[in-house]
Amino acid sequence: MSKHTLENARLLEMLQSDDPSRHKEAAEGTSEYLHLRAHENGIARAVMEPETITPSEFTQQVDTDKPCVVRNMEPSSAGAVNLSLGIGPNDAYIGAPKYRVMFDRIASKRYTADVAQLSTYTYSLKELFNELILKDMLYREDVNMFSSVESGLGSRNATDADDIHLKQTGARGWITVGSYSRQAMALARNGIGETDNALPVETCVINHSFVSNILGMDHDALGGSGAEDLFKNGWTKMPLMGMQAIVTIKRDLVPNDSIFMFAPQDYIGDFLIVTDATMSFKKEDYMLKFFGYEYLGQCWKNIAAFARADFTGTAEDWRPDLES
Amino acid sequence: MATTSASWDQGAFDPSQTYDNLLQPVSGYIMNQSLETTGKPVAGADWKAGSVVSIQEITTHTVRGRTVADIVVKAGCADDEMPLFARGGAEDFDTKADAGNAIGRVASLLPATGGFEIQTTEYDQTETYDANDFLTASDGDAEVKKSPANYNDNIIIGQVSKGVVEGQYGQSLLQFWTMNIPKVQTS
Repeated sequence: MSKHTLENARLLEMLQSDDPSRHKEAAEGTSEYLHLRAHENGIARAVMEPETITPSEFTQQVDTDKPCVVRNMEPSSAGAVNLSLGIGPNDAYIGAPKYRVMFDRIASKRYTADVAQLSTYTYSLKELFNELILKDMLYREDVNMFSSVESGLGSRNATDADDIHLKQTGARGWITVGSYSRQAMALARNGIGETDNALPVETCVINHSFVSNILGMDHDALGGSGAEDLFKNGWTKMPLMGMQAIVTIKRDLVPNDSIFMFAPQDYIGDFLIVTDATMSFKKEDYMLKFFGYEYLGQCWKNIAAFARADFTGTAEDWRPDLES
Repeated sequence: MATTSASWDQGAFDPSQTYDNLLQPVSGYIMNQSLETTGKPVAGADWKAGSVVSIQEITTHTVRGRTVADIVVKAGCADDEMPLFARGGAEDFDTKADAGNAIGRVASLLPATGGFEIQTTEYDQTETYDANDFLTASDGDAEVKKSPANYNDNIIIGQVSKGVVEGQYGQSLLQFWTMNIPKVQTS
């Protein structure tokens, strides 16, 4: 008998019951399981830890029924001047910028199955649901994240003064840094700090291929005992040039030879969750329908808080001299 | 409390309301069961909720190594294209979002073959509409239009049921059954 048989039998017994409260019990049991995994797998949730809010925090809008939360941005100061004695400073009126975080749902496909056929599964149905539903929703969070981030990075090695990142931050958001080397790593790491905002960098996202290329760097490039550790043990959870490294297998989001870097969460924006990953089950006779959903807002507001470097081509400057 | 968005103070701000442009299925739509899809507007689109749109192109993105198709829609539909009725406008907050917001950004669309009776604010208001009049559309124009007499001369996207009715906020709404009969090619 499979080790999952009893667990599956209990779950199916709840789902087959004519008592709707037992369906709810099954959904809650599965949701509890999903919640545990949700915090481990998504890149977006690793870069920005989600904050749970309630609908009471929504701000009503006149021109849309879309739920929104209004957040404040740091006000810009007008600077200080030297004064001679006997005069006062000029006036500067304070106006602090604000922004909206907007909410929508992410949902899986709605899966259907005959309960009789589900009962033949010998591995965990909870894991099946997790595989079908939760990973897809987390992937969607990550797709949304990289879609927003990439639209804020501007063009690679941008030379157009109207490039969105150059124009708003004074620096490129995405450059090539040449092939893998210590100098290239240091140049890449400097991207977020090179903007006019001069933010610190805290997290980076790379893929497994990137790690293999680091492992291939020699002792001189890596330096010290770290080189020996990497050679013996491979990549562990060690930081990368002071950045917390998130290693992913999602090559379609994080291509080979690319590193995405992020400032601390407080500088980036908001990841607000009203309803975390939740399962919905519905049973009609012997047919079961189920899907997962979550209700959240992801706002990658500050484009000075992220940058991308590609370990290819020639090493470019984060702040180009556009007049030369 | 105001019940309409009619401007009464010249020069004052008059924000549009969510019901100013509207597509409302009145029958045939069963949430989570009906034929429906979602799409992103083509760049620069400005069609309103209630418009007739159609597929401009299919784009793809990769999810976990699998290719996933996305519908990109344009205003209006040509004589051989599937008419889609937009529940959200290209500039509405379901379809767009403030910069940085990553969730949503798609319009909900009802295909004309879905068997709906709908009301829309986006129709040619210079015409009069009688029950059983055929309705059509043209490429690039998001308004529902009255079809010329010969139904096979152009695409048919619907047939009038109750005609022009007044919405609860005073809007003029054209009420019709959706359908899709492409133009019959004679050459």
